[in-house]
Order: sequence, then C-alpha cells, then structure tokens
Amino acid sequence: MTQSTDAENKLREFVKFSATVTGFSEFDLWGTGQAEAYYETAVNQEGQEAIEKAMASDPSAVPADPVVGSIVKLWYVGVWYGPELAGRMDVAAWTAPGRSGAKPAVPDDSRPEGSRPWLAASGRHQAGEERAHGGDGREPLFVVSPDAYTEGLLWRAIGAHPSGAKAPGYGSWVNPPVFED
Amino acid sequence: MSVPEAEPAPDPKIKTIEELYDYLYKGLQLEHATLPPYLTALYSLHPGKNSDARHVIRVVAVEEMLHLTLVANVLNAVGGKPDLTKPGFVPNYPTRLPCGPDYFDVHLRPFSREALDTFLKIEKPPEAATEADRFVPVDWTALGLTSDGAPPPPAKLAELEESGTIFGLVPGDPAMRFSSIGEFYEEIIRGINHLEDQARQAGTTIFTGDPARQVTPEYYYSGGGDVIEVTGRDTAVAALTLVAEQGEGLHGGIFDSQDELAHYYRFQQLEKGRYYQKGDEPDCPSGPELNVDWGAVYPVKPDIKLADLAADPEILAAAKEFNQFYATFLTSVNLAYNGRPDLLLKAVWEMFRMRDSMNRLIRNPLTGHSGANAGPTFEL
Repeated sequence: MTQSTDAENKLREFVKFSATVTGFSEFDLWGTGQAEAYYETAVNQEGQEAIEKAMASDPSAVPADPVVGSIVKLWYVGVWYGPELAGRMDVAAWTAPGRSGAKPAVPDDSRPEGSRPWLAASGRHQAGEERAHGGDGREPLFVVSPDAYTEGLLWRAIGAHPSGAKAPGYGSWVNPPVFED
Repeated sequence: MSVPEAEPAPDPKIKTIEELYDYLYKGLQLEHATLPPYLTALYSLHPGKNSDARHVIRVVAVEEMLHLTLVANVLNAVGGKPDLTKPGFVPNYPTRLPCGPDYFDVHLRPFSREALDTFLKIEKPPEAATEADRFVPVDWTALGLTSDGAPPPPAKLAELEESGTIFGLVPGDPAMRFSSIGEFYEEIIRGINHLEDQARQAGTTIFTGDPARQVTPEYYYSGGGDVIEVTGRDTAVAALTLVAEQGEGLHGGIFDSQDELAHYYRFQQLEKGRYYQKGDEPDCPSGPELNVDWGAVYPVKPDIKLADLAADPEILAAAKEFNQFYATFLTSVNLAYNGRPDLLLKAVWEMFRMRDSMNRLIRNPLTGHSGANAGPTFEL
C-alpha cells in the first residue's frame, strides 16, 4: 500500500515538474495518457538518480540539465532522445533513413565516430518492451509507443492533429486551426 | 413488440397529436440518455489496448446517434419540433430504465463487467408476454422517491418526468409504467396508426411536416445502419421499428432488418470472448476469439459530479468547459433537426473534439479520491 502510494507520488512529482518545463498544464499532461509510460521510459533510460537530479534542477537554467531536454522533447514528440541527442532538430534524420536504410537522410554528426544510433531505433522494438537502464539496454532514440506519437504536445501547440490519427472529421480542414489558451 | 395478434386491438394511450409529440420527445431524451454512459465506458479504455471492446462500444454509440436522428425524423414528419435544449433533456446520472418487473440504474462509469451487464440490459430487456404485461405498476418506494408507495405530488412528478431521472413512465398515469423501452415504442407506433386512421377518415393526414426538415442519407454517414427519411406511416413505422430492433435483434435473431448485428449481441461478444458470424444462433457466437483486458481501464469515478472536483481546479475548469461545449453541441444538433440538416456534418467535427476532451478528463487522476479518475459529468 505504502509502496504504491510512493510510486503514485513519484509519478505525480514527475508530471508536476514536466508541466513546469513544457508549458502545458498538469491536466493536459495527464490527459495524454502517457504519464506512466514517459516516467518509466525516463527512469529506465537514465536511472532514478539522474531523473531526480534533473527534477531538482533549476528549470530556467541555461543550459538546462541535459536530461530536462530529453523530458521536454519526450512530451512534445513522444520520442525518447537520450540527453546527448536531445538538442537535435532533425526528427527526419532517423524517421526517414536513406533508401538503403543503412544511413539517415541527414548525416548524424552528433554521435561519436562509428556509433550509429539509427540502427538501434529502426523499429525492431515493439511498444511496451522494456528498455532497461544501464549497460547495453540503453537506447538513445526510440518512439515510446504508437500512442505516444499521437499524443505529442506539439500537435496541440500548433493547432493541428497527427496525420493518420485523431482525425478531426471529414471536411473539417475548411476551418482554420483551433488554438487553445 | 411481442403481443399476439389474436388479442383485440387495445385502446391506444396516445389520442392526440400533442400526446404523440410528448412521447416522441421522451424518445429523443431516452435515445440520447444512453450516450453518456456508452461514451464514458468507451473512453475509459486505455489508449492502444482493448481494440475489440473499443470497436464494439463505438459502433453501438454511433447507432444510438442514428436512433436519435430517426426519432427526430418521425417527430418532424408529424409536424412536431425536436428540442434537445430543454432543461432536463440530459439526465442527472444515474438515471433509471425499465427492465421488465424492475427498474435498473444506468450509471456513468468505466468499462467493467458491471457496466457491460447494464449495457446488455439496456439493449434487451425481457419481453412482455401479454398485453397486460406491457404495463407494470410503478413502485415509487423501491425507487426511493416516496416512502408510502404513492406517486409523488404532481409538481415533483412533473419535475421527474422532465428531468430524465426515470424513463418509461406512462404519461398521464403516474401509477403505471411501460415494462420496457420496446413497449414504449410499440405504444408510439400504435398511437401513430390510431391518429393516422382518424385523420384519413377525415380526408387528411398527420404527416404534415415539412420534408426539408428531414435528415436524409446525404447528411448522415455512420457505417452502421441507414437513416430513414420519414414521409408517411410506413416510413415512420420502419424508423421506429429499426430503433427497437437494432437493440435486440429481429424476430429472435441476432441481426436487424438492415443486416447489422443487434446491439445486445454486439455486447454479448465481449462477455463471451468471441465474435458472432453469419449463421450463428443467439447466445452461441462461433466467430474469431476476442480479448478483453478488464484491467486496462481508467478508474473513472462513477456518476462523477462537478462537486467532486473541488480539490482539482484544473480538472474542474476542464469539466465545466466540457459541459458548456456539450450544451453547444446539442444546440448544433438541434438546429440540424430543425431545418438545417447540413449542420449535422459539422456537428461530427464537434464530436471529435468532444472525444479528445473526454479522453483528457478521464486520464486525469483525482486528488483526495484515491484510485479514482475524473470524467465528464454531463451536468448541463
């Protein structure tokens, strides 16, 4: 009982912190239905200690704790970018590998020579599969789940919907995007 | 619906066109009343899980919207005016539906075995065996509404009838109710026949409504069942019969007259863990297996009210906003039913936005109600 309450509190703290750094309300973050999956992802990838350190850091600090960048990006696009990749802007780099499938459309120079993270993220993994922290289990780049993509905050931020999901109704495209407060 | 033909034609309860309007308004209120419970259960399913349950509930909910439209078409055809914006049109849940000798409570609650059991009861109440069984005395004490079994005083009774707290009462007779919703629609069909016979003898008709007020198929797309344009007695009876049989199936079979699996059997698939296929007998689905993950559900607080949200200002604000949006949505649908059928297409867009708002509410854990989540309250 105490244990589950403790887990619940940790999750609530994570959402609270995420609201501060994403600019969305706690209500909106819970509303994605991804809170548990994201917290689990962050902890599995970076470890409890690193997450707690990030959550204790000054959210307005420049540069922010690198893990904070990963958490913000996670909420916006539903993709885990390890801290070493969180600054990258080229989402297409790994979603659209070159025709051969062997290298990304955009050269990845953020990684040390010889390291090819896009191979690790090429869809071998199924949603829900655990990605353990530490050792070889760590992955710098992957989509958390099929729903994570549709629940990305970016869609609401730009008043759009994820293509191929959450359809807003036939013909609704005659309307301008609906921006929320 | 099951009355043997040998019995003499009974005296219809509906004797005036105004009484017919009242019954049809009640029909609109009733069809709508199933939607908040179905939608709450539907959106309580965890994203990415329970695709079978999601599909089944969704199809039924969409067809309930068809029923609402069909009843509106009948009301328009006989010169009435649908009004989905009347105070009390949306029930204060739980509401009560008649189920043979008993009433049962219909709650707003998450998908569960109990919720599924309620859905099965909604769609297929026991049938009346005889003409006399079509009506049952109202047990006001069992309903908790009076202590001595007598009907409530007229003002209170009027309020109850208006508010959708309890369905199936016989208008004008507070001591009696219909044994089931099917019998309620049967009475409407008898009333239409009676009034139309009278009108024809006088060289007129009760179908005096403006045909432009009908919602016709070009304004209605659903994937389950076609909207029927009501222009006279035959189409009115066809529309109301479809409403009744789409729930429970036709002539004891599992399909309705449009070859759609009846709602009762759709829900039963979730109970039995197997799909029906063509040729199956009732209660014995032989199609592919399906899986229900009863645990992959957000624990929406049953019959949640705004008053439960005092400790969660963000959720409270979103729940109020949802209720306002829902009221606006009903206003749009009402305009569509009052001469602007083209607006129904735009109302579909609002439905998608409502879906997203409901999802957000349902995924939010409440403060101070351990293990319970928020949800839409439907308090308008």
